[in-house]
Amino acid sequence: MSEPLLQLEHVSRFYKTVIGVGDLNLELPLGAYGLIGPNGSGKTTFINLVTGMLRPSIGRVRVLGKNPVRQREVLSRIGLCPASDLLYPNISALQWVEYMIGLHGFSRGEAKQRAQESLVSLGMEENMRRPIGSYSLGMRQRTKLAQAIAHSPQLLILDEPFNGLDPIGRHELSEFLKKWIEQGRNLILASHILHEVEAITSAFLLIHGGRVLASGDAREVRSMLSGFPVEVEVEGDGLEGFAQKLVSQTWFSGLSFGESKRLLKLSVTDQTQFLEYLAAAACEAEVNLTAVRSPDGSLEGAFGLLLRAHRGEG
Amino acid sequence: MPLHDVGYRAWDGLKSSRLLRWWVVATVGIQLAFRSSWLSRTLIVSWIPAVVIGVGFFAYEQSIVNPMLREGISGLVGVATGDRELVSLVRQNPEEMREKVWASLVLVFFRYPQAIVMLLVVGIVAPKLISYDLRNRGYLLYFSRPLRVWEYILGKSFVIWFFLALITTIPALVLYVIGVFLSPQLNVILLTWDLPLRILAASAILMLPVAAVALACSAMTIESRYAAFSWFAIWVVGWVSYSVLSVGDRIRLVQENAATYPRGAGRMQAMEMNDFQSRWELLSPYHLLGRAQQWVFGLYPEERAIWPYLAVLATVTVVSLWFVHRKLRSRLQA
Amino acid sequence: MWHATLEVIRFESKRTRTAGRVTLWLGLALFPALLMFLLQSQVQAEAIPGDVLALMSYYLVVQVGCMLGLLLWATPAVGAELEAQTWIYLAMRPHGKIALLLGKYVVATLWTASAGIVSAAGVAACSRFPDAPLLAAVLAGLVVMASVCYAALYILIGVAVQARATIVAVVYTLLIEGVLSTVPATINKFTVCYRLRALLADWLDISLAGPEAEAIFGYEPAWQHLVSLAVYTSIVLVIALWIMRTKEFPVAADA
Repeated sequence: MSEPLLQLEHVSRFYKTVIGVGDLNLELPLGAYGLIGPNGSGKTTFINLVTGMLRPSIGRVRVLGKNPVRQREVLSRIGLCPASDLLYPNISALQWVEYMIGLHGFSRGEAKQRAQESLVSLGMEENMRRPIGSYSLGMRQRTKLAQAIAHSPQLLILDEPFNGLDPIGRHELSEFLKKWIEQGRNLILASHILHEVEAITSAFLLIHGGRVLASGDAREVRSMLSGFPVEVEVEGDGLEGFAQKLVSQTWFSGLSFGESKRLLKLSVTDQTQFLEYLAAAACEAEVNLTAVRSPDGSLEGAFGLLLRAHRGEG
Repeated sequence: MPLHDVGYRAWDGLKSSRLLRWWVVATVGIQLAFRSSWLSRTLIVSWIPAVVIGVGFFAYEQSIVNPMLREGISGLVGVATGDRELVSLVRQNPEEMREKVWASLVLVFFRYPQAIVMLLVVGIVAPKLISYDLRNRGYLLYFSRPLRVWEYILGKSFVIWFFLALITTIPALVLYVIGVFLSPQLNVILLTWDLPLRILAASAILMLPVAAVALACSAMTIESRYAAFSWFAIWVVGWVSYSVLSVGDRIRLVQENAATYPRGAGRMQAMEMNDFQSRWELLSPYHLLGRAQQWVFGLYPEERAIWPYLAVLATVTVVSLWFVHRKLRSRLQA
Repeated sequence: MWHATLEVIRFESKRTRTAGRVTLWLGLALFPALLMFLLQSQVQAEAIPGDVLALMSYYLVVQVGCMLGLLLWATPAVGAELEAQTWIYLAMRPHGKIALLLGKYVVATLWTASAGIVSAAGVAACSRFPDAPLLAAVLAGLVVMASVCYAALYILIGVAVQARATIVAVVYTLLIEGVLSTVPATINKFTVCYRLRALLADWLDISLAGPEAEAIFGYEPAWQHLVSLAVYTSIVLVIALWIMRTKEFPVAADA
């Protein structure tokens, strides 16, 4: 049985009086995961703990079965592409990636070959001999990624890799990461851009306020919160009468009207029963429905739901 | 909204005076500098010499009313100022020499402890003032507002002037006030009314070139460590150049006065003579500032010309400011 | 680890071979000789006693030259990487941090010592010292030792207080190596400057009269000074390595 990818046991990290991450408990098998959370949620602290940059104030961290602080040899199996920009203006991408690979212990010839291969695989063939100071942001991102993959790590960690990339750059990076996963390698992708993470992996960790709110995919999260009210928007005419009849339903939780009476926002605890009711109501002459909206099954919806649960908003 | 109709121009509220734009740059710079705990600690420690000199003021004033203390106090004046002539005059009539002794003590305060503290404080504050703006492209944020380059430079200079005032001007003025309060009579103000003005003038002579050179070091690189290195290197190289090259002048002086200075071991001590002045002082920022401040406090030998020192200080100030201005302009035009 | 250290040495040597750094190297190498030349051009031959010349040459080449060179090349070992945001890449390598420290130590020592050796030759040639080749050899030896010792010290300062390394290094040099090393008491034996000065006095047979002379120039045999310097450097390097291994350097905080 292979070792788990990550094991965090009651891990907390404090910055004086501020909690970076609090009481994280998780065990992730090998695979690809999105680490999702808004700015300041603890994503980078999480990554720093996993890579051994920070020691946990409490608890234990294991990556591929090893302690990244004490057993630093595990870092040769990890590649990190951090969020910070690359500021080596006067050397070329090839020289720098070759240096980074050399630090892993590869011979000069092999380091050069690996550096070239990784840069070429990321579309940097024409530019890899130019100084990094002359690169666009997208080129610098690719250079950072090249040094992260050139030593063929088992686990690739990316922190906000889409920041500053144009749509073509984002697409290319997404395609690269999908191929990476298809090759059976492991990935942790930290981002606050939910739809980009969803496009690459369906497994994610939702982090907020230094705590992991949930892990799994969007549907698993929704089933976890099956008793929790979901917001639905209904648009049309005759909604006042429709709303009056809703009050007696068991799955009904609350409602409010928009500025005009043509928009009705509902909280329902059982979406399936509501949709059945809605279908029947739509056939009635007094009601003329033009739109129904629900963040059903999407990561953004799941995340919003979890945040509301976390805050105790029911 | 037209392209040139930038958001802030629609502001209807009260705006500060156009003449005070630089003040915003200055206050932000000061607030950022104060985030350094190193700076706060250095500023606190920098007032210790003022306390020591304050005790010197008190002791001197006591020697005026108590002749038994005169011998000891005149000796201490000699140790502090190195002026043998002053020591004998103080022994004879300390009240008449009050103005000169006070000026000497304040000059000692400027020249010795505060010169070292100034080096450290400016070394903490100045290197990042412009280099960080250049590295992080913060200067674009400044100059996308209606701020001129000279206003930016003035604001940044004020940051350095502020901290220099905290460690030199204000403690020196406080020393003067302490001296007045510790004097036997209040009419001492009439006798020493010019000393606060001299303190302000000496501060100006210190602040203008020091700030200009420090900003030039900061503007020449995006790496603050090189700016800090340049700052310290200027003082070290200047001091060392003077120390080595002035040996020639000392030897020539000793040879010319062979009868006065004994041979053998005593000659080494003779070469440390305190009234010695060398043309090579023009290479050393420390000595340049020292002579100019000595002149401001009325302690400079009348027979020697001060204009070379002032000319070098003025030239260094102007050239440094021109360099900073040019560096910023070239960035904006790039 | 040694392979990684060699990589750091190779990379740093190549990266730092810029016009600016070479200019600085030339300045450090030639400035002391220029000063000595200007001084000697002002005075008659043998006007300056040999002992004074030797001490002056020592301070110029060994103390000032080494200090300036290492302030620039050793002190910012970690600070430079943090400022350039490249620290995290190095720290992500299994032996990256240690290799960085050792590699930068070697590069800083080589740059400083090489400038110092050229400077020693220049100063000796211009100084009119009775035995110029001996002066050059002694200064060269002292500059190598000073580079090795002070580089370790400045690297330790750079690792321990990376944000204010230059200031701390300057204060340390002025107060400890400058002032404390001349205090005629036991404490000055713990400074590098005392040991180097004692070796200078021993190898050039400098003798100054007065009770302070022994306290300033020492009376121990040369081997004791050499062993002291070696032990001192080793201890400082070990401490620097330990701090490097255990300290958490500020990485990017959560955005």
